[in-house]
Amino acid sequence: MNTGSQRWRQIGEMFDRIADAAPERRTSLLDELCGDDASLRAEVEALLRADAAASQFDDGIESARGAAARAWHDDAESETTGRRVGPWRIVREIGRGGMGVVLLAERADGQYEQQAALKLVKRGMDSEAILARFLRERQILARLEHPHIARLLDGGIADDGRPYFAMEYVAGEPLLDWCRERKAKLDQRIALFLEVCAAVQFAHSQLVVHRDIKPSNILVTPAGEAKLLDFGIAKAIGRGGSGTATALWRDRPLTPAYAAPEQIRGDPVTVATDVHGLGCVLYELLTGRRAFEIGDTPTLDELQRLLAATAPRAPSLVAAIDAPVSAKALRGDLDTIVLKTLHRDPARRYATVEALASDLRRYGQDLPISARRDNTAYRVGKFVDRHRAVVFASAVAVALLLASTAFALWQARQKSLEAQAAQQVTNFLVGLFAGADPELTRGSKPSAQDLLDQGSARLNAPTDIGPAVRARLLHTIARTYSSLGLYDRAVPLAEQALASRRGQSGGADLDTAESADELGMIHLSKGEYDKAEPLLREALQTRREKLAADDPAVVDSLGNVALLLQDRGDFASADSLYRQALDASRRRFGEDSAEQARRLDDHATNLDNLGRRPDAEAAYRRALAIREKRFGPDSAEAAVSLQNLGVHLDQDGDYAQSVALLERAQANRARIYGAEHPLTAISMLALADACDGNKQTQRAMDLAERALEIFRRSLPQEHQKISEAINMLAAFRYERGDLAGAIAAYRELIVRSRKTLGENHPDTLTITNNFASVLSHDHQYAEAERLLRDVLARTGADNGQGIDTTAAENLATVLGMQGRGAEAVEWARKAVALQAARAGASANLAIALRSLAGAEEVAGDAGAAESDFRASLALGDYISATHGVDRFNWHLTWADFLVGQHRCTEAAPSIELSLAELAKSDESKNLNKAEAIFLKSLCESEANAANPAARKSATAALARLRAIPRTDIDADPTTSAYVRKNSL
Amino acid sequence: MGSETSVSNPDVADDLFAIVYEELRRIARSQRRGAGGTATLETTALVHEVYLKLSGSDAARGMDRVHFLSLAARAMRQILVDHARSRSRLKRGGDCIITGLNGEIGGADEIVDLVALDAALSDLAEFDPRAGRIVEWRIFSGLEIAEIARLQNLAERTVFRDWRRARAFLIQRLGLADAAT
Repeated sequence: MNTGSQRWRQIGEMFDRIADAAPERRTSLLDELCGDDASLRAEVEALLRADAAASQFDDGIESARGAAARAWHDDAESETTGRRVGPWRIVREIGRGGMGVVLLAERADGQYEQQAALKLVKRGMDSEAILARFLRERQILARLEHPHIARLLDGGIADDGRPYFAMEYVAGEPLLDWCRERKAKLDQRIALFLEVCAAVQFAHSQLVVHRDIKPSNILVTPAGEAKLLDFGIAKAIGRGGSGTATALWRDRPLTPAYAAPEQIRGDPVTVATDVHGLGCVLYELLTGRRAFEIGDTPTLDELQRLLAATAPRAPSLVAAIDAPVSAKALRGDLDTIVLKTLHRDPARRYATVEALASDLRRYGQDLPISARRDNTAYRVGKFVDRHRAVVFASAVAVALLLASTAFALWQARQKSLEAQAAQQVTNFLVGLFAGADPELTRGSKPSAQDLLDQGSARLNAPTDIGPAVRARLLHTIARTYSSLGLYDRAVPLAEQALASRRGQSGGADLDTAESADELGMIHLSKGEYDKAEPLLREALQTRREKLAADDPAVVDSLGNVALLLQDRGDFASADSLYRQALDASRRRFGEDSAEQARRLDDHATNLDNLGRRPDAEAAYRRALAIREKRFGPDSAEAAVSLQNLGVHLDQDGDYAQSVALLERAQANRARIYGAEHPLTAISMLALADACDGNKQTQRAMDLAERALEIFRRSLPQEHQKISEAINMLAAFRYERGDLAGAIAAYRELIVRSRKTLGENHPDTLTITNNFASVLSHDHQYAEAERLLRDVLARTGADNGQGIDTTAAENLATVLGMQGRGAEAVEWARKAVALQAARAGASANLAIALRSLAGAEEVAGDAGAAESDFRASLALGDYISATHGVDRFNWHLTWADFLVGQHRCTEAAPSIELSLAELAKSDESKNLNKAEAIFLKSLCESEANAANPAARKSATAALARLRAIPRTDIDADPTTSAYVRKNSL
Repeated sequence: MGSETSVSNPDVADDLFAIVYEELRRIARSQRRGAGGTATLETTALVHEVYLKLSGSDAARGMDRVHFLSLAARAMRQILVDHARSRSRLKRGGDCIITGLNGEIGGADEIVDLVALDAALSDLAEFDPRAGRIVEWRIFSGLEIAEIARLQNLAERTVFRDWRRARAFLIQRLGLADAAT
């Protein structure tokens, strides 16, 4: 640039005029002012271009000045020991970050002994932008109450005007040091890592991403718990996930070795960024090496290389001899999991932290997997009493409920409208009972449902009742309907109550929250999660805003949102909310309170879902101890716990203990409520299931039938408990070979379930699948096929239980049985794809592959069958080696195929292996055992065609097979063909 | 508020500069020792603090606010630029700050090189002293346009134009315009 004053003045003048002008006029102004002077024009244009970068320059200047001032200041600065900040006294500096220092502090006001990590904005850093960010961090932390996140204790303004906040001081060791010093085993490492996942997942559920997850940000407490620190550069996720938030971390140093590629590029940061960070931690935890071997202050070259790298090397390839985990243990699942978290493309990583955690848990569960999947999935309904235990309202109970409403109104409105409101409710009640016409109720006493029906009819007719009272009554009636399981009647009333309260309050008051919560819970009971979620969250938010953190209503809302998340399959998020509810209720009601027992029960049901069955059992036992202590061992309350624990043990397969506990529960309830009471029947039904497991089949059948009878007599016809009992009876009948009885039960059940739960409800789909499976065993293929196709068309509503895979496999079987081999193969292939997408390398995938191979075999494509059998065999053997699953699950089917191909020599080792394993198995494996024996004798008879003894023993083996019910469908293809043909 | 922007005797001016410079350092240091005081290192506040300290002292008697702010901005500039220079010597060839690699704003957010800025500003002041002073006040003392206008007894519009023009010059000189496009 020409820098003469004269020239500059000339250029400057033009720049001033043109820069002031509207952009679209600039070109013509340039033409006009510069005329032919091309160099003048070039200089002015250059200045205008520079001007376009003004805002970046301003920002750059601000950070440069800030950084320089900070650096100058830092050279000598240190916070003074002994100084007071709010109620804290500084002990020493622990660390410093980009904008703040972290100090160890202790209470200076002598109120109690406590240490804290005090975070203070550095001097010279308190520009508005930085203060805003600092306050934001404080705000974010306040939202993040989680056992594995360092908690916010306190915040305020120091004497010198700088804001500070005090966090829980974690006197722990950094994660990697902790593991190294204790030579932590693989499962310990994974357990700690899962705790971190829970913390991150929780933050995500609060719409916060951490963005700086690295080993040094994770400490392990002396109690051995992981704590995630430093949400210093955390960001609230916008609704769209991107946005302008990057400006917030403009001068936040990242940690290059742990930063995700998109962070370095400056692309939007999302949940996937934290998944990447977690992947880095996991990598180092397993291998002792960093996923990306670059320094903390890398050169540009190193960064470029990092950005270009597609993925780090597989953990098993880098694990050294002295690595914490052997290369052998890493190969396979762990390699796959780790590399998936570290994918360069965020879209190809795990979509959620929960997905990552659940893969790890699956890997970590050494529980034997039943590799022979039940084609009738699992039973419907959760017998565990959740906290909204079913209320069996009698007419008197309904009246009391409404009367208590009147009382509440009277209390609340003493000073204003009490007389009027109480009178309105009284009139309403009187009218209700007067209106319960004996004619209408066929001369008997009015039932609860009669009263409610009348009540809602009267509320919808013109009355003298004011809007507030009317809303409350609507709410109460809706709630009562819902507790009776009459959801369809509850919905319109709850909707009216909510709309009316919203209208009166203009939005967010506690009454509105109460109604939103109720309506949300009704939708949840119906499995309408999308409708339930915003309502339940709204209620939680309003209650949190208006009430103390440990208010019972807040605790309730926490529990309800947790229930929703649990039902949606987001068990990790549910877990953290349950923990919050537990903490709050403990603070409010005490460790040994009845409320605490209820919270423990809720939490335990979810721990079951998380596969943490021992923890769940401990929680149930703890709840039982609380109730026995407070209410006595024979109390109704203790019965709730006996029931829950009994059901849990039943599911664990500990049938004897389960039977004992449920017998006690049933006896307690019979004594307190009467032998015919529905609560007593609930215990009976649970006991029936345990007895079935305990091989007391007849007793199981009798109990289930009696429970059903009681339910039918005492509950509204649509009640869910009736469905549960029918479902159990159907399963029992099927097991006993009573196909006709089972089919009749399923027919009733499906009609009920479609009506009360809806056609897309996961339970409805499960029932339909089970029904179809029973039909196919009864050779009713056409109807089975139609039902299965219906299930598969609806599995969008599947809540992650995997019914779609089961249904696809069942459909393949049904098609195969109808001789439609090509279609069968197609569906079996879909089942494989579904299963692979759901869980990757797993026992279920091996099963799906095995089914596919079987379908191909039946369709006559022996080549494809052989290669898929080999795939299932390889995967199956791997699963067997790592999870203790019996190998016959894979080898017997393989042998069956080989025998069908007349390759007995090759089949022999697999047959022998299966026979050896099955020799010690119980009667549930009778079919497998008989099949193995049959295959062996068949081969022997083929080898010695001349020997009549061999042929005779093969015929005998076939006869034994045919004596087992449904072998034609359940045996492997070759064997099954012999069974149907009934000859060698 | 006077419009005088310099004192007639250059020696007096130099002495005053030394006083302001020392006072800035002293106050910043005293903060480090935690000796109380409410000011912080945020440069604007620091400059104001120094002015309050000095306005009553013998050494600075007769120095008006505008004059003082000119000196303070210069002092601040010297302190920060000197420091940046010493740091860059220390760290030459060392780490790279990835702080500013921010895709969303086109990579121009890298921290401005204060040493280069200092040189460009000196050039500017040679042929446009008023704009140079405004830049100094804006950048190193962190004063707002409105405040500068008031103190300099100029229309805000004029100050803004000077600043905009000067800024465009600096951006161009530091080669930051290209990075943004």
